[in-house]
Amino acid sequence: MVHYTSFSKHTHLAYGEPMSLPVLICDDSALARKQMARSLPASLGADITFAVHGLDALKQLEQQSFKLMFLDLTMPELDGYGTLAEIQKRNIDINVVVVSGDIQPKAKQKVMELGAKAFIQKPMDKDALKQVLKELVEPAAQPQLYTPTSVELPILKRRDIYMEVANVAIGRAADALARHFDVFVHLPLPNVNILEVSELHMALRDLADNDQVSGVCQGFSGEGIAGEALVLLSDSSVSDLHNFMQVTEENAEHEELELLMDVSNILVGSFLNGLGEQSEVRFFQSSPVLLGQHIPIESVIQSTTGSFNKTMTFEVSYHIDGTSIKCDLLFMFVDESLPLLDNKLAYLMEDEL
Amino acid sequence: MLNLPAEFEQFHWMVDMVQNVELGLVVLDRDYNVQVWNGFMTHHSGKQAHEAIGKSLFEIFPEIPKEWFIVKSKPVYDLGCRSFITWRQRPYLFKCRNVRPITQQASFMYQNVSLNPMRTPTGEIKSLFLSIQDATPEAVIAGETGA
Repeated sequence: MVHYTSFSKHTHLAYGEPMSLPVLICDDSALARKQMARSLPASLGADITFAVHGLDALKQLEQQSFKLMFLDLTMPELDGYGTLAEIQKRNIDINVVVVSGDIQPKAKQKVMELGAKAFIQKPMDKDALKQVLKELVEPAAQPQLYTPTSVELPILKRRDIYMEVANVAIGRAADALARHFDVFVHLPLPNVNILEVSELHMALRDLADNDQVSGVCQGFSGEGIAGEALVLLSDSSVSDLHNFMQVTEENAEHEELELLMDVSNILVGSFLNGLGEQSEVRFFQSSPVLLGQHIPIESVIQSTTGSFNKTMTFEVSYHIDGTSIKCDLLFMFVDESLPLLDNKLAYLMEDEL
Repeated sequence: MLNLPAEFEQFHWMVDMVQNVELGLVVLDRDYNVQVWNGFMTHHSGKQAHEAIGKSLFEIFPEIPKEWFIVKSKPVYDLGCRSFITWRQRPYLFKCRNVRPITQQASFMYQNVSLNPMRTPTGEIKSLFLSIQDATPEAVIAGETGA
């Protein structure tokens, strides 16, 4: 469950004894754990332990007492909300700072109600962290001499980078949707995979789950990186969306089309903004094109046999709180864009150690 | 060595292209007042630049539903992303006569419109521009024009 075995790099990152501050960093993303550990100022004297999801964190909290915890929200096994609830239930005395890409106002409100002391949005701004540390950590009375302790930082794989970048971008898209329609959106764990054509088709069949779908696609490009986004809404979701948006009967068909186009445009546009911010590329999406309304998934598949061998696919499912509305989003980058994107995100891989 | 003409001349080129490109270009401020109105818009709408500039879009074209258009522009200002109006959703934004009055295939110009954010040097979005594309041929092929 704990992945320490895979950590092999040592670094003199923090200063421990005699006045070390035990800190727990809980995030499923190796990149996020590493970034978090690196962002803590040496003067803090942090003695860092990592946890890879909520259950892991609770186990660590049982074994040892910590002063400070940095907690992600979107995680497998047990997410951040569940972890906060458990901490409250077990009466564990710890300052929890939520660090998340889910920047919906309602997410922040929810974690504060669950006892979090602060909320920092991803990607993390160092000044915001400094401010939070100033509020939560008592400054040492006088300058102390620390002896360095070492902490094992996770080794990053390319997929870790993509996952975390996707996480932040997905948070942006959910926030945009939430604000536009005034709802709360449940943030999914993204899936990032390099897929061949047949695998992509399998993924699509999986998503549709035998229901009919409405699909919209939208091309995008920026600085030579090009790809396509595919937004799928199952028929059961569409009928819920009607009730939810109070689509009038006589104009239903027209309004549904417009709604479909707007939802997909907002999701795609804000995801690209989030991705662009992290890779310093300005992406532009082209006009949304309707693949079809209320069609079997096989006809969507028929329209995805373009000229590509492999595609890197970000797969995301959004779910609107209190409804059964589920919206699937696929971002596909084709072969020749991959090295360009790698290049743009290389700074995240960099090891200045 | 690059052998480009002086900057003012290059600027003149830009203006010339904006004026004469086969695409409608309109800049709107946050209150939906027209700031730029290019040649395409003048030719096709019949409204001269001096009639349009400085006036509210809804005043010049009362047929544009205000509430609806504001919702369309919301993602542009709030999120800084493009927004689209395709002819399938709404055949046209600006009612323009057809470009070929004699052999006409449709009684008006079908349009694909995109709403684009414009950033100030400090990154704020204080205005947007519309680009208007003639989509009549596409609509004709799709057999939507009833001609």
